[in-house]
Amino acid sequence: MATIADVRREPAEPIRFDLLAWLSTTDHKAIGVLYLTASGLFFLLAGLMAEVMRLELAQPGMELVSESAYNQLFTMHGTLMLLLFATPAGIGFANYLVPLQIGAADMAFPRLNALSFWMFLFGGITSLLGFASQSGAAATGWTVYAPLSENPFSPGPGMDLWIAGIGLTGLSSVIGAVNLVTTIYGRRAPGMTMLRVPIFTWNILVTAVMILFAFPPLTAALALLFIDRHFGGAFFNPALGGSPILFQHLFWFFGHPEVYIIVLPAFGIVSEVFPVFSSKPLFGYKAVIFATSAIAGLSMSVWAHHMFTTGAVNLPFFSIMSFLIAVPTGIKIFNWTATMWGGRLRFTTAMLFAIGLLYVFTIGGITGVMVASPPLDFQFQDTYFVVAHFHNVIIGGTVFGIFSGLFFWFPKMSGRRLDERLGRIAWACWIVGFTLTFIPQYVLGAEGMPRRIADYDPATGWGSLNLLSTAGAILLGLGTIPIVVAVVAALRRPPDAGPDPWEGNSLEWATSSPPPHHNFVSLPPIRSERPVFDERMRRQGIDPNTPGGGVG
Amino acid sequence: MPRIPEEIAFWLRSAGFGLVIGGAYWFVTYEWAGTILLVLFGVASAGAAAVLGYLVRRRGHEPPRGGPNAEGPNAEGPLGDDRGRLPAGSTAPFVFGVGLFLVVLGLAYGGWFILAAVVPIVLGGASWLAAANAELRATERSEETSEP
Repeated sequence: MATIADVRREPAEPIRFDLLAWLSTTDHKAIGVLYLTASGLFFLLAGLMAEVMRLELAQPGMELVSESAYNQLFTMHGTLMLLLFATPAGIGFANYLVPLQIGAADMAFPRLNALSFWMFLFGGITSLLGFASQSGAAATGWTVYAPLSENPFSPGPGMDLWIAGIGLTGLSSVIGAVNLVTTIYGRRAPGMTMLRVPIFTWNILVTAVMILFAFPPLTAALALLFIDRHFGGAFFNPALGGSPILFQHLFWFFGHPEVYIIVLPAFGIVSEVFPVFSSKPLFGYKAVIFATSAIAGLSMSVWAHHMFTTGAVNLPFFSIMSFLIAVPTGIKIFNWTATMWGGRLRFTTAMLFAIGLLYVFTIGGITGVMVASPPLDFQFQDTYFVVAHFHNVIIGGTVFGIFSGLFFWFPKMSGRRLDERLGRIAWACWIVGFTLTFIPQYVLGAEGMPRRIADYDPATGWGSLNLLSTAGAILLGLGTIPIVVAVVAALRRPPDAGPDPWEGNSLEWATSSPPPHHNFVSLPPIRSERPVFDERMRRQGIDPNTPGGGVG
Repeated sequence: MPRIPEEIAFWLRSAGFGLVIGGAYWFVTYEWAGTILLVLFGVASAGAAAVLGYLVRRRGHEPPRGGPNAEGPNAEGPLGDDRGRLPAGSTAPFVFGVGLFLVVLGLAYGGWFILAAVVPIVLGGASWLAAANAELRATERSEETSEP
């Protein structure tokens, strides 16, 4: 019988492109790569849109694009970043890693998994096709608030393409979530109890459950909106007796959990990265699981803090629930910091991006507590303060995590390491660029600059801060180039990573890089949430259960 | 009292949270939409816990799965059956996906797209079912030949 050592000697397959193989694959690893590639392309496209918008705002009076085009750009930028980049990127990592981390050969429903990907891709393309239509793409903001998104105010196929495309993408997410939950519940290797499941997979389980509860209200809202637009419905049109507030309830019952649907996978990524590069176990494994579950639960009950200024929601209830969510989030930040404390730190690019997440996301969390307070929210509603806050949360909570995961698991996926020098350049650009872009926006928001405007009066004095913000955005764009170059360069090199380049903890490091089709020839005994670490200690003659065994 | 497995406790916690918060929300706000959403979150979680409870009870009557890591019939472990084959590559999901693509284009541009979608949906669906049936038969044959 083959052993882990045999698997480790298996040569990595060369990277080659076979279109039919990609179109017909049902292998979770290939589907994971497809998700990550497609979401990466959507990210680059959305980033380009952001650059155009920032150039438009760099100084008052710029007329790079028309106001109508600007509206389409910020709508599709938000749509792409949230629904076609951040959500599927998390699902991409989950697809690749969950079966490996739990010692399974594949997902529970491999063909359904492939269908989920194609639905996501075609849904994304559908929403983008609006740019090719006579009416242009959807221009309502990614929240598609009714009645602005109703026929009288958003006529033409662009809005319909958005509704249909995002509806299809949402359905894909629900199918993917069912598959992930079933896989985690039904395909774990013998010995892997729920409290031995790796922390990334736990985060994915919680994310998948949130998708199951959060996406159906969005689908319902979009279906009702479509009926309003084409079949004479009156669900959301106040002129016909409908309720725009109902649309906001349905949308935000999806929209706020969506923030955590995209953030939790990234939290899972850094929860794997911190222990490996601190040479310590994760501080408070069970506490992190509890915090993850608590974040998920609380995030389902804070939706209407986005609706404070409607005057139609209970302010104290949603304010208190929103404050509460800072507690489990704080537990996680504390646990990551405690994991690093006293550890033997290795500042690889993956670790640097994980630390970057701590810095950027924490600022977003603090400003989140500020806007959870109704008096402050009334002041900041629809200003650049809110724009800065959610970019802190979303870029900090997803992009930094995803880049960290890319540098961490790319060797597993391809057998090749990404260039660390390019990674460090990218990291520096993202840290500096992020600070330059968004800190000025807090000031602009506090001074009253509204979001979603294509121009502003020079007399406001907002020009200098906007110029600074645009310079930061350009740095963010430049900082993305080294990552693309690192990926392309690595794929052109022969494999150099080996099965376990970082001395990892979970089962994906117990097989070759990239893993064979069936993932494992044999598995090490699973007696903790770190079976590969345990196995490595045993080989060195150290009992991993003794105090200090292998720690530090 | 036997310990509730974590895989069920997870859903029970969700159910409790949804129902308690949903109830509290109703009495604080008397607002229907949010109350229904929160209570359904709790009810659906309770349903999931009930189904999993049934599966765990059923597993308790089955012999443990073999292998060096098996920890006895009462050990917390996977609920599924890992037997079966990895499916071979198939264009069925892609073709079916193309059909759905045409359907959503039809929602924006009219019925002709939806009519055109029938072909890939039928082709993709039929080839999907055929492949699944072939794998099921192959698995059954393989189990029959491996039995003593």
